[in-house]
Amino acid sequence: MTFQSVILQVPTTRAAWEYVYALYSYLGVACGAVTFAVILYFCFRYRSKIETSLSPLDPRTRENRDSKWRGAALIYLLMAIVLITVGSQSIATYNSLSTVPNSSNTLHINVIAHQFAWTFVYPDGFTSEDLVVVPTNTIVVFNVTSRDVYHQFGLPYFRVKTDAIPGRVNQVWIETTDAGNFTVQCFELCGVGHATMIGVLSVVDPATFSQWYASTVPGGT
Amino acid sequence: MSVEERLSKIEKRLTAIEKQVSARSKPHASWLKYWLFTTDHKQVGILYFVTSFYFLFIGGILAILMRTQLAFPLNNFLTGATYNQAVSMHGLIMVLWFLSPLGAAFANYFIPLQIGAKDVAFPRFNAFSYWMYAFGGLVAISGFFVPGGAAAAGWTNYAPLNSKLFLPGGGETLIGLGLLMLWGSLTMGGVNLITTILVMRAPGMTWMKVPPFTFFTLVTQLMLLWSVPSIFSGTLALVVDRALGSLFFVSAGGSSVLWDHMWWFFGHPEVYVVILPGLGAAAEIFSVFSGRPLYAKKAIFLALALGMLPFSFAIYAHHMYLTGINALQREFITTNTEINTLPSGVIVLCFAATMIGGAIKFKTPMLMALGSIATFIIGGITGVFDSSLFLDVQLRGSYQVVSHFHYIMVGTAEFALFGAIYYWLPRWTGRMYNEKVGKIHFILSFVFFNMIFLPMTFLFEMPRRIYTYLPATGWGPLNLIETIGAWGFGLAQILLLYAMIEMATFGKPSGPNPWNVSSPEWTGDAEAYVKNYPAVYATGSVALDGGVHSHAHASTPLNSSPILISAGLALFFAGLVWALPISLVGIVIAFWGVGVWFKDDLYGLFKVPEEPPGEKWPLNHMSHVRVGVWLTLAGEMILFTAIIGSYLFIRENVPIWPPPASIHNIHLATFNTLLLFSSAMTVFMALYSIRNGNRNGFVGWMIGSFALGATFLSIKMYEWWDLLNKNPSFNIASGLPGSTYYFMTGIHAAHILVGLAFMVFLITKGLKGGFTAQNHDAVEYFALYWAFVDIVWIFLFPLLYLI
Repeated sequence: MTFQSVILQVPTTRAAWEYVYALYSYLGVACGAVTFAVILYFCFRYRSKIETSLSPLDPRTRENRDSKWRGAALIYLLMAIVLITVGSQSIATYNSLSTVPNSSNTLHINVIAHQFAWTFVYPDGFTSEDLVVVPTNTIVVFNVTSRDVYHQFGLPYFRVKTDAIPGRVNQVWIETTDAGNFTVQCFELCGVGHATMIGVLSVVDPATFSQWYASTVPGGT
Repeated sequence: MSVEERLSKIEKRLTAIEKQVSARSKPHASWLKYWLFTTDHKQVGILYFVTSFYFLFIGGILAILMRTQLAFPLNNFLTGATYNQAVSMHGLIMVLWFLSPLGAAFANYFIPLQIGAKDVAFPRFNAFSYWMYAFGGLVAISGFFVPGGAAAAGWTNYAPLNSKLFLPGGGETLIGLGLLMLWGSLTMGGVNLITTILVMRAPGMTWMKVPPFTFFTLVTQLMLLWSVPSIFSGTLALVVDRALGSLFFVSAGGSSVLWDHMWWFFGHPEVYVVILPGLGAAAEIFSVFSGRPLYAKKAIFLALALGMLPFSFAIYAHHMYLTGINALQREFITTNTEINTLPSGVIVLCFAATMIGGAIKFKTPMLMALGSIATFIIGGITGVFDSSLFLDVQLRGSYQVVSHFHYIMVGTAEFALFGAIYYWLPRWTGRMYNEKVGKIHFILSFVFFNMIFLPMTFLFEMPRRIYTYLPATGWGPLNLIETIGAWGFGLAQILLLYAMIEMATFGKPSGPNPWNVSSPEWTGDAEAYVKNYPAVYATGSVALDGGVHSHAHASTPLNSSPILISAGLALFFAGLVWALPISLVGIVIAFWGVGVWFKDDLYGLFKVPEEPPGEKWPLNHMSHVRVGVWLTLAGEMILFTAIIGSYLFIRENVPIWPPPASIHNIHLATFNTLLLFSSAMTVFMALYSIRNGNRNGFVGWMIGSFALGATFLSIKMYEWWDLLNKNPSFNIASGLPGSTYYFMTGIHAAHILVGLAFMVFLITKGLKGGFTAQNHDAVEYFALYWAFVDIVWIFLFPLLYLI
């Protein structure tokens, strides 16, 4: 069930996520590779060989080890720097995306999760099951709640998710770019139908949308 | 009666008691009786070991079933219902009934040997905690055989899916009851091991000299002791929800989030609880097989005690980024989580540095330890992704997370524990494994392990716990690779089974110290180890005594009460779901067990070998019983903090609450409160009397306290009865005000009931002249407990009646 057509523009939320993910990946792989290299080197260098092994009690081994303290401290400092870099990037990006951008072109949709489907409620009261149609180049704000159990509203393509909790409303937003069909899926175990709790986010061009929206019955389904 | 007659009577009584004592300490009473009634730490350790592998087998089969279902898109091997049961029980069994008990098995067996103690601090409680664990597991998995099947709400049991409304079958109730038994087991085990390590170390074994495995276990058990009470109260509320219809986790008002808090306050430290015993064993293995002392042991110990221990609690809410917790909290949690990478970094670096200058022998334990560190690095790095507030928005609930925590739990914990098996089993059995088999086992396990979990890292668009997916998602090929890996990993464990059977039965004799280790569990001499530290950690220069294989001769007496109480409790719990008559049988057996316990204490039948004075800093003036009591009270304190915290959480989220005095009879409750406080006074008068050697005064004040306590309880029951009659709309199932009131007063009343039972014991023993001015520890501890129960009421009374 993938409907992605050829995408020309990457949505804001996805682009930001991909950027932070890449940052973590490069630094993570680099740190991991260095650590692995060091450990493998030690394994090779200090493998048990009668000719080269120093007695553990030899004073030379102790000195050798003590001078390594500085190296360890350096590695540690590097690790801290890496963590501060990625951590602050992550928080900064999160904060910059946590408020809904101001735009005249904003559509609010209420999402009610229930076993095992999604109900979308439009501003005029029109409700739709498992299919949500929105125009391109629009900020779409989803106010997510649940009617029964804990669900999680996820739009994997846009890299956004939020918990759907009974009695609470959580907000996520996306900025649609090009037309296409995208998966809406539940990411929290919610019962026997968890795997099939899939909906479709259909992004269409504004003209089609307004035509379709005008044809819907307010309060109808 | 003349004095002579009296004396001869006392003498006769004494000989009778001695006979009974010696009858109980006789080893090999019969093979079966011996294993069922043992309280010796080594036997209990072996019982833990064998049982944990039984649960590994069940959990492993479930994993294979799930992977088989997911091998192909739209596969029809399992249904949604059966898959959910498999995924939930797999997680619960593997984490709680396999991994941490396997660590506990080694801790039980080796910690007293490592620190030079004769046994653990409380041998009977040790056996008790084992049987509670084993029977709790049986109660939990019996859910597979009830209509509706086993628990199916994930290992996290998120609310309100865990409620009767959405999962009406008995399985979810049974997992709740099984978990309650397990929480009891973990608390007792924690108190026991912590006390042992705190105050029973051999002379000279100061904190920086204790072997790493012991220190890692200490940190583990402290985490457990402080995290379990939270989920204990949560599980209890869940069971009451399901059994009596209270509304903690089913009503709106944020109650799902309440469960989140309670679960993860336990669930996150639990991850460290799972990996630390394994890493502790790996620390010893790295040192022994490199022939070097552990590098920067001080740094590791400090990182654990000051870093990981507090931070494991401070970061639990990173499992809840998406629940809508506030922004400041989110940043705080992200920062803490990334800081918590640092202690783990210390461990990895120090383990690697231990190899410097060594002569590394790549035997199977060393390979396993290296594998554990390798997967720890990968799992740690993928974990940094999850700790990131922003990345978690996409990764949460996806297969990337599944990959991450399996790298930590299967990779780090299980490989290290496998290493511990190859390293330590020869010490139990006196036989070696076949090195070739061990190495092949390592290579196959390591390759297949990565085949399962490396591809998962890249499946971050695939949700967890789905039983099927569509071909168009493109997840098929990676899933097929994972499934092949899972089958390979499962089958490779046949080699482990072979190696364990070899070590147990037909392997080559290992000699007393096959690895030439100076650590005291091998040499049998803790003091020699202390003197030699740290110059000779892993060289063969320490003289070995021949008597290390001594586990066949238990020195601690046999006792039947642990298994009786646990079995009775298990039958009682299982009967609630299966059939009520079973519960009645269970109650009888449990009370029989309690009776045996009381009788043994009354006549001093259960004698534990006296512990010579040793290293206790900073608790120099405390006996081990006193330390145990204080630790238990610390656990109780957290239990009530969790309960009161939950109450406040509920009050904040429920807008409409009956105003004070509209429901409760405040005059009666105030009078009752005064009764309880006066009983605290009389208990202290009793304590004061016995301190001065006044036995009659002691018994008199004690009877007075009992009367006051019993009156308090009677009035409480009248209050409930009165409320239910006058105000039928205010009951436990009528709404959160009713649920919280009955739940909290009920738990407090249960504590009063336990106190009353204890008073009956004290009065009986006092009448028999069992307490003197010098010897009345039990009274001191009871006074502490009673004071605690009163203090709790100081908080509950205003919260429930006045505001």
